[in-house]
Amino acid sequence: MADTKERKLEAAHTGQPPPEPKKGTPGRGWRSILWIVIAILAGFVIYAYAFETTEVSLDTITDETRQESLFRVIRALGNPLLFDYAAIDTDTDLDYMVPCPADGFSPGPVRGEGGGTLSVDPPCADPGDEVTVSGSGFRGNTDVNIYFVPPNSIELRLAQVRTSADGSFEEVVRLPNRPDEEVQTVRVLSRQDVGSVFNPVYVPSEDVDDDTADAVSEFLDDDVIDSGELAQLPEDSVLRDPEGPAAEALGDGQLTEAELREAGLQVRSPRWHSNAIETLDKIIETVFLALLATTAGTLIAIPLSFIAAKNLMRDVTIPALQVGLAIVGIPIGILIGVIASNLTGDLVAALPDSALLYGATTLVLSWLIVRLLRMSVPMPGSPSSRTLRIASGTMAGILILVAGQSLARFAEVGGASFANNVPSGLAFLGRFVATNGDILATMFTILAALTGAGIIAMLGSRLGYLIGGRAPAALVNVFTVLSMAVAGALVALGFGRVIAWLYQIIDTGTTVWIPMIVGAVVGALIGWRGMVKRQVGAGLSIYYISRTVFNTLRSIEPLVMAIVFVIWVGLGPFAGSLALGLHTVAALAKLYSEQVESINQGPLEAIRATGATRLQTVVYGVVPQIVAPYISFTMYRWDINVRMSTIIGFVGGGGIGFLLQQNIGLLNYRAAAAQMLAIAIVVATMDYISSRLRERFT
Amino acid sequence: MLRVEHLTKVYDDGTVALNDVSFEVPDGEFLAIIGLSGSGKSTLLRCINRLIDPTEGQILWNDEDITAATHEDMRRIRRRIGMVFQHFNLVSRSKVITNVLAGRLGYTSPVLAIVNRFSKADREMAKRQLERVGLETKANNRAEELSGGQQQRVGIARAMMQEPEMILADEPVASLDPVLAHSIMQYLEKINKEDQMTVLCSLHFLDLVHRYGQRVIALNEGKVVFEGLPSEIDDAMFKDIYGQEAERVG
Repeated sequence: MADTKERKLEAAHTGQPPPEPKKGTPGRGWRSILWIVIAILAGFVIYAYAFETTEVSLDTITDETRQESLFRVIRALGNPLLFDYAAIDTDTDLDYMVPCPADGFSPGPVRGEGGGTLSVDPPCADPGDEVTVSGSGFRGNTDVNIYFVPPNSIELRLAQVRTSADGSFEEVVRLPNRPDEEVQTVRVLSRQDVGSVFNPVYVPSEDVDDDTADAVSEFLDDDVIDSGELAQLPEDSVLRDPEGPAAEALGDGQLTEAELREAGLQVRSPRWHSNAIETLDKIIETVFLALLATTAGTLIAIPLSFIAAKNLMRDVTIPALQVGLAIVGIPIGILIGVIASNLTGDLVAALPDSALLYGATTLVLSWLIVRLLRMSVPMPGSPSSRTLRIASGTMAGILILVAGQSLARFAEVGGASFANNVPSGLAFLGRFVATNGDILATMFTILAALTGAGIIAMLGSRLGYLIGGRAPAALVNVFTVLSMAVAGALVALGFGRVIAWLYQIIDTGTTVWIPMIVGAVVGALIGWRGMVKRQVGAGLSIYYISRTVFNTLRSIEPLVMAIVFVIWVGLGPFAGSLALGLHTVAALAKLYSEQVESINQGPLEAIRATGATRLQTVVYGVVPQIVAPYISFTMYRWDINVRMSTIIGFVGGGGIGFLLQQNIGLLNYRAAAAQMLAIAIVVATMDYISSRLRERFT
Repeated sequence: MLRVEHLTKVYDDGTVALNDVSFEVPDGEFLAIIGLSGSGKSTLLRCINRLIDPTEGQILWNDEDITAATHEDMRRIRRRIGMVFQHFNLVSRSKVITNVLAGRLGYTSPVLAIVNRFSKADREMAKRQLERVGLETKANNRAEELSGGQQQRVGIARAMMQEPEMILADEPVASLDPVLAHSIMQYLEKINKEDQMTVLCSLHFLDLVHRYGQRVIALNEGKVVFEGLPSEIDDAMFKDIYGQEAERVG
């Protein structure tokens, strides 16, 4: 683009048309034909091998028994287990004799309430014989079970058949080896669901759980009888048989249909199957798991994305002396931060455990902090002395620590007491606040350590700047090499300790002294180079390190991470959200930073030209350009996380995947189908919402 | 007074963008810089406010050595040098008023700027500058909604927010059509005349140089090939600057 423009501009000056790009004419000699043949042959070999390794076989696809299994699964998937129907079982019995008595046997009439007729040909047979059972007058297109009932009444299932549309069936079955002199029975059991989704009915409850029992007791207590009478009633009879004697004893007609239903003595058919309820429960868990992972991942990825953006980091070069002193400052800063955080933590812990007190402390301190911060910022038009600014800034820093700890305690104590004093349905809000207080308290130590490291590193760099500006060149060079040597030794020591911990090496020679010496030498060399060039490409180093870390993390699938987190925090959605969150950080940081890299550099240049600092340039030049793509990427990532969280349960990471895997393992395809349906609905919805939102933000 | 002495810039890939460039600009002058694309005009302007670090040579402004200034000195120096760009370089998604206020960043405390706070005086000033370029009604539009000419006027307002003593204009009208080009150039001229501001302006078209430039320097392959009055550029000189095949079109 720039090229064509320049060419045009030149043309304007020279008055000549820009030269046409040359068009090549490819030759089609025998050489290219040979190449094509070779390519085809190579393709043939490659795909032949691919077929071999993936065991592609049309035979298995067309195999009838396999097709039958497939159809069974597909049918199940098409019929997800969502509703629980009350069923009425009807037995249709026919007398039968095994073996045939000497004088033959003619069966009596068919017994049963369903109205179906039944015949077996022959009417009696020897054990193990094949006989034909045929019936008619049953419900069309339903499954019926054929049983053989010996005198001990334990049913032996012979077959399950499906009736034809007119309700008849015929099936050859093999008789069991149960010879007996008594008359035995061939039974056809047909099961019929009651009610339909559009026309539900109420049937007497077969099973009443404890909760319902309590509810019924309460109900009876309040409305029908007094507690004394209730105590004398046999509980079972009341609850299990609404038409039984106990119910009559409560007074005929006093219980209306509605009351029966309310008491759980009558249930609706169909009602939601427990599988449907569990699925709903788990899919909600899934969506929130994805939400948490995305939120946490986004919050961490945003600051990281800036240090992983080449265009921002490339120009960050710092004199080697400043780099060295800053690195030396980091461990000191961490130490100071941790100590300060612990001290203030102890201070706050010494206060009596009262949410009110903590809240008040936080508020008062916040007000003070704002005042102090105002004093510490140089304001145009209100000249304040340097010492005053530094003093108020330091004071504000200390107070921020105290206020933060006290806010954390406020959340912990307040949340816990809220959770204990509200109805159990709302207690989760209190627990949420309390957990966040806990997280804040933990984070505060880390934050204090990082801030301490940052401040001391900054002071170190500042010191380097002052030395570099004032001391004679030779001295600066000596300082540079020295400080870089110490810095290198420190970094290497850090690595050495990590390796010592990882591989359980106790020998201090390998993990302390050797790394420190090597580090010092490398540091000194970098310092030497920095002494000549004056500047060290600190920005680029950070860029390469962070990119490497992100790419490594990103290449590990969340499923694999979840396995590690399950070992750490146990089975459940927390492990899943940690795994997804970590992956989100790496993936988003990379996507975000690429977005930062692709921004228009012009405005940055313009803002830099106004005298803005680097931070101001980022805030005014970079941020406005990336807000929209960041939102869009975040939505996209939530979309991905929802999809991932549906299967993260496969490895124990919580969410709906657990149910899905369990049901597939139990060959319970109809139940699994309900979970797949839920996943499809949620993913499609998320997809739609996220694409709509992304449209608005790009 | 701006003095550029033996300025040389060699890029990392070995390109020599500026080769021993020396010239002087008295305060309040409108200096036009001409030359082909790639002759070093942009590099020269960017060396003056150190958006690009020169390889050798010195730039002295009011007897202060810009080339030797530290990071912190540069913040102070840069805020007195306004810059206007060929592609306007506005943050297209930000409001016009925010873009104008950005010109004030060199004066604002970095901490306050993070939370998007500017003093009341700065806001008033931004409104005045927008009025001056005739865009007060567009203050709350996004910069990308404005036409090219309007965007460049916002760019000028942003530069003026710096209360600069010098304006560097890097081909400010190269992306605009001729009518708009004149209106933008007239703004620069007005600033130069009314505020006694030094203007260094690189230009493509000779007619604009004749019309607005008080003095001209011409660059060819990083070297100064001409320094003098616009009227002194005759056909022979033109061919020296633009090459033997060039024909005058403007």
